Amino acid sequence: MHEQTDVASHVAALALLHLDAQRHAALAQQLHEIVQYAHKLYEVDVAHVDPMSHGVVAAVPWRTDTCARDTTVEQLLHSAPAREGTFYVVPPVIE
Amino acid sequence: MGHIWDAPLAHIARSVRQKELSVTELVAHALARIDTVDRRVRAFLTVDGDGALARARLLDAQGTDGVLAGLPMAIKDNISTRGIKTTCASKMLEHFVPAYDATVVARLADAGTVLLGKLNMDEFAMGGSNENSAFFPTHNPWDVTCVPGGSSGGSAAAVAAGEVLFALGSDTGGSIRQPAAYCGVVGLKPTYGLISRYGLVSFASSLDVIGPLTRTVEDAALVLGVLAGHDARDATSASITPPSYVEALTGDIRGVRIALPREYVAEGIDPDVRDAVFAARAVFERLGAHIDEVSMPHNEYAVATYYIVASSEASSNLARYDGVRYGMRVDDAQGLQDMYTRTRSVAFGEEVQRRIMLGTYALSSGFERAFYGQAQKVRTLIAQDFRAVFDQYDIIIGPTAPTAAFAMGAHTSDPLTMYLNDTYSIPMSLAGVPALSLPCGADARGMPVGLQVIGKPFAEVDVLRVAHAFEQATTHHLRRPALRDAYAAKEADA
Repeated sequence: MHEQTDVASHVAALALLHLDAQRHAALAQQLHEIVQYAHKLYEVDVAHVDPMSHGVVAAVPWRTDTCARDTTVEQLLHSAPAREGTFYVVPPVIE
Repeated sequence: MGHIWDAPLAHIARSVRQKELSVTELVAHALARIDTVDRRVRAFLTVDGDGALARARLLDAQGTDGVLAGLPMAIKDNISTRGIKTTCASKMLEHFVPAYDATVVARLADAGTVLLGKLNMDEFAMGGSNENSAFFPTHNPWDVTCVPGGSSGGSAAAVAAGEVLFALGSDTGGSIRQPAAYCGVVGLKPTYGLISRYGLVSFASSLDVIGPLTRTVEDAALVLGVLAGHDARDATSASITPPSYVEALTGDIRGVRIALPREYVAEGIDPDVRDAVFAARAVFERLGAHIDEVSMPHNEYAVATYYIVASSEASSNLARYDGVRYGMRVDDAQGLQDMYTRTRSVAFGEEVQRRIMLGTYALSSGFERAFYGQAQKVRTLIAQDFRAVFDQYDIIIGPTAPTAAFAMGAHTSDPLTMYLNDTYSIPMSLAGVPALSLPCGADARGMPVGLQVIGKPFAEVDVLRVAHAFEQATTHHLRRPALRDAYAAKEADA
């Protein structure tokens, strides 16, 4: 159980999530059960099998790298949580 | 309006083009239905009534020769619509208004449609019941105590309840097909790359596709013809010229070779669903198709493969939600790191956090090769199963889901059981092949059961032709939910 909660704490930190105690315990247990289920993948012999990263293997078509100005700065900043002029505002990066 | 509302989309659009039918009347009718029905179904997150009526008046004044002229429709809320909120049913994007339209939205507009609004879904398309919406759950129009399926549950419910003439959804592991099955409508997951994903909010980029939910196969073929085709703004968009999907609907499937995998009708499937699939098999045989049972031995590993691959991609894709450029941000953060962490913890719902955690775990140092790498290789074997069957057969059939729609709250405390419910829809997503769900019967409660028709990559023509032949030989697609009938009766009395 300790190992499960330690793993959940480590993963939550990597994922930039903060879990309260109750949620932490529940997620640790669920994560454990799902990972245990996923272990069935080791039943499969993949010794000479290439990994597949996309559903349909097709050549990605080349296109010209052109500059498009479909959106304005104002449109892009419209949904910003905080802004100042044409900049996003964030909390201090250096304390 | 009742009679024309139930006509094929091609017929309604033709009437609009010939100015026998006013777009404004169509849209007013749709909005009245939404006003009445959606209090119980709750399929819509946003209804843009004023925008829809303004667009309708413009189309009436200017005329339109579009393939889908005047058709009122709605779109899943993870597809970008310029000037209209696109929330992904998440508090993270509750107030997000995109600056651009998705390619599919632009193509539907060019074809003459009218956008009524945005449809509810599981948050960031993660879920199979619509109960993961951060705002409210959608209800199944056939029985409002049951889920509509998910994640495109709002799309399927809106079509089934007659609130829209068609809808768009997205499918990553069954999210169009399963709700289509639960709500008794047609849902098409196209081949990966056939329809542009530009403007679709990313969940799992190697699996995500957009597709139509409609009342009939013919309607699905008509809408697909508008959506399909290369888009330079999507690097994974295929360079192909789509054929005429409607012309493929000949009704003749004599000599078509159909495979029914034993694994699709094995242990775990509801007997009513299995009976419906076997009854469908008999229909295909009567229509002159040749059917054999086959084996797809890696099917049992599909769910585990999917939840590792999709969650890994999701953990990467959702890293962009950090409270900086758009979306929610917590107040009074104590520094940048605190802002990132608290924003994501407050704004993401439980299921999204669960998937991010799983994906982060699978990609974390020391586990990446063991989980993500292994899953990618098993994915290859699952795709090879499909190729092997398609070497000898034109089409594969099977159930869309192991059961019909379940009661709300039935699986919310047990995520693994919920995931296993995707067992028949996930393999096609991993292989990238097209698959369509259409009604093929009902369970003992009268809830719709879906049949899945699966084809070779980019062989949507074959999928639609076979599904259409089945539909024309049966009456399952003519059943309507009682809730919709009640509305029609009220309309007739008015």
